[in-house]
Amino acid sequence: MAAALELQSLSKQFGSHQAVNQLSLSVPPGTLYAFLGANGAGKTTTLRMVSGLLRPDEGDAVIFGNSITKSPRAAKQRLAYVPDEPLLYGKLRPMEYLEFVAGLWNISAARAQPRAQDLLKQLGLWTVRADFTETFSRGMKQKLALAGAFIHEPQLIMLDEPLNGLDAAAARLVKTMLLDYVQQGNAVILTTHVLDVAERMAQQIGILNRGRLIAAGTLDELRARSGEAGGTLESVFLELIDQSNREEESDRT
Amino acid sequence: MSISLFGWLLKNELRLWWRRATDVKHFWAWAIFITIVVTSVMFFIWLGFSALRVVTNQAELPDATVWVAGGLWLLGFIFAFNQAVNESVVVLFERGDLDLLLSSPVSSRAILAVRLLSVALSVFLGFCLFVVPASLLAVFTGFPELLGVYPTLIGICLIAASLGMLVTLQIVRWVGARRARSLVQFLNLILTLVMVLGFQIPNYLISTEADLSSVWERFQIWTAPGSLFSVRSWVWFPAKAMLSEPASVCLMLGVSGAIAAATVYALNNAFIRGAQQSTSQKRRARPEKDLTLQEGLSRIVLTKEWRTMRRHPYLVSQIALQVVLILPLTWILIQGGEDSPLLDIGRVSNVAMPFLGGQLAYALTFVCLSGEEAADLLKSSPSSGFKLRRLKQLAALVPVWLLLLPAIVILIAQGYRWLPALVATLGASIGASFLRLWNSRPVPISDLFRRRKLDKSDLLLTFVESFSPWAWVGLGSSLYTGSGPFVFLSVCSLAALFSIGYWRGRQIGSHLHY
Repeated sequence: MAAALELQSLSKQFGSHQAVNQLSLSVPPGTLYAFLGANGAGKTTTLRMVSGLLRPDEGDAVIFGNSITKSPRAAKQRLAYVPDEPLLYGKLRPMEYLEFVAGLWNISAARAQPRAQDLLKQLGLWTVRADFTETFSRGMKQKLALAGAFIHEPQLIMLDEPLNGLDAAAARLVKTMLLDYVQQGNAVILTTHVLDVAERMAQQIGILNRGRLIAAGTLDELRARSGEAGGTLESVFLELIDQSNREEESDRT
Repeated sequence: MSISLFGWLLKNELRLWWRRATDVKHFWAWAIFITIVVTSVMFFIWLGFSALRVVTNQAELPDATVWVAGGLWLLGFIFAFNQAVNESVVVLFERGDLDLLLSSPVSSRAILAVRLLSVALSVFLGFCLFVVPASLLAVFTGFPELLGVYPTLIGICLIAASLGMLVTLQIVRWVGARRARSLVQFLNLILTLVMVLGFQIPNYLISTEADLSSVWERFQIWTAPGSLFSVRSWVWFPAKAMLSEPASVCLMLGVSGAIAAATVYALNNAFIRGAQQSTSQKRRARPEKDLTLQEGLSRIVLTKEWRTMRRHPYLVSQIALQVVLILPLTWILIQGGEDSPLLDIGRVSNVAMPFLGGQLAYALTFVCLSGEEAADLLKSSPSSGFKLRRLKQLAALVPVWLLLLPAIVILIAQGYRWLPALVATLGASIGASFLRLWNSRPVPISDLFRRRKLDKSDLLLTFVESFSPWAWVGLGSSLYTGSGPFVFLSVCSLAALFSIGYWRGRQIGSHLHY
């Protein structure tokens, strides 16, 4: 079975800054993959390249066997991307927004209608369905963006800091939704700075530092690699970043 | 509060205003452009003063000057009020530093007084760009009494700032800070409507029993010596202040000062009661029938764009403004006949319709394409970007065509030559839409009102966009009159303009991100 996502030597440079450097990894279906890294490590750039928003300088991203550079429409049809800043229309109501997203992904109204209603109810937005999204709080916007990602039933969902702005109840709801989705054989890739979330949810973890993937695997594999047996993800993460920085320093000298 | 602290606060306000005012791309190009405009206006004012000096050749200005001064006062006040409301939204709500200041030991009344003065001063400085050279010209051409414009201007700015702040406070309470600017657009639209309709009174009187002379007679009765509205009456004190009449100047400054003091008192009360908190409370939208989803890319894109348009006050005001502008034309067409005493109706239609169609198509395409709020969503979707852009253009063009369709129908019904108008209007609207597409840059929809943010377009393409409506007007007009050489010239101009536009568009590529 084809990998949900396969990155093949993906690279991107902005001016003299190498944002992503020869990034290769594979995410199997039915996996929740957490992408970790400090600010500016290249997480968002990677997700934007995978979703077709940025053209890679080198390499490719293959989504369920479809290359994002060679057959972008087929690849995008199976993909949803939720950036850290929700992409909404202030003058549309939630159902109108979901109608628009379903239309963009060419989903029939008969299929989209019940799904849109279910999602709004599930995410607690049904009572505000008559309001324009411009009146929503940050958390409500985030939930609606998430509903937009789920409406077309993608096989791979990529989320950039999905729990930003969510209250405890909403965060728990979103985490449950994502785990259920993964159990149905889909894949979820998320970036987060909340390492506890990644520790509890992710089956696979990738750590980026200065555009390079410095470690990837299960939490136990990362513990073994960092020498932090029994350590938390936080201590493992910090140790691996530290090791990587030391190696880079010694390479330079 | 000491004078030095008051001065420091005022200086801080002015510094922030100056930073915003000069935060434009190509500042020096703008400065040169404004200098040229001011100089040109001054030239015409100088001609006007010289002509007035030759005509009057007497020590005192004629009585009619009061009417002119009154008109200028009104225009100045409308401009000042608009500026004051926009400034007030910033200084009271958008800048977000009022909480900090109000929680400081400085007197809240003094802080609000400084805010009011800073709004008044920013409006005053905007006026000075034209008023200072104009007043110098007035002195040099022998009308020193026109220096009364300065105290009048101070009065106008204080009153406009006071009313502007109070209106802003009320509007923000109703609709929130974000929509306050939009509502101000509507207020301005109403003022524009009144002015446009006022100027069109002679046209409306065509073919009616009333005529200009009867209106003039009635006006003379109202303004006869001894009546309330006569030139000598005190009610014209704002206009007379402009002509340096001492009592009027004192009254003007006294009234405006009193209004400003009362405004500071009212603002202080409002903010102590928590005006800012009340503005952040959300209004509940009225519940509506559950939406039945549609399908098909074309249908959902067009529906989404039209929903956005009809819910967007800026767009509604743009369309309403065009309606206001074509009302007189439609009225004349309905009233008209071939032998209108004032103008050749067929020719006017061939000029006005392509021009209005092009302008409206430009405005709507601009918002549909550049104002896209979720460009990344469109790009990350499997739908073709080419098709999405074309659908957005279509969404912008259909309202333009629907708006101008009645005028075409009336032209046909009245037996005018309608085909030239139709060709030129279609060409102008489609052409404007494509030029806008080639010259589009993303603009956050919240910045659509801030004109200075829109100057990121390509200079050459902007030049082409400016000339294209006139070429379409030329084509429509020459097709109507059947002037072969002019038709040829217009077609060549359009071909050249669109070739340059297409070439430049290809060269710089799309910046729309979808």
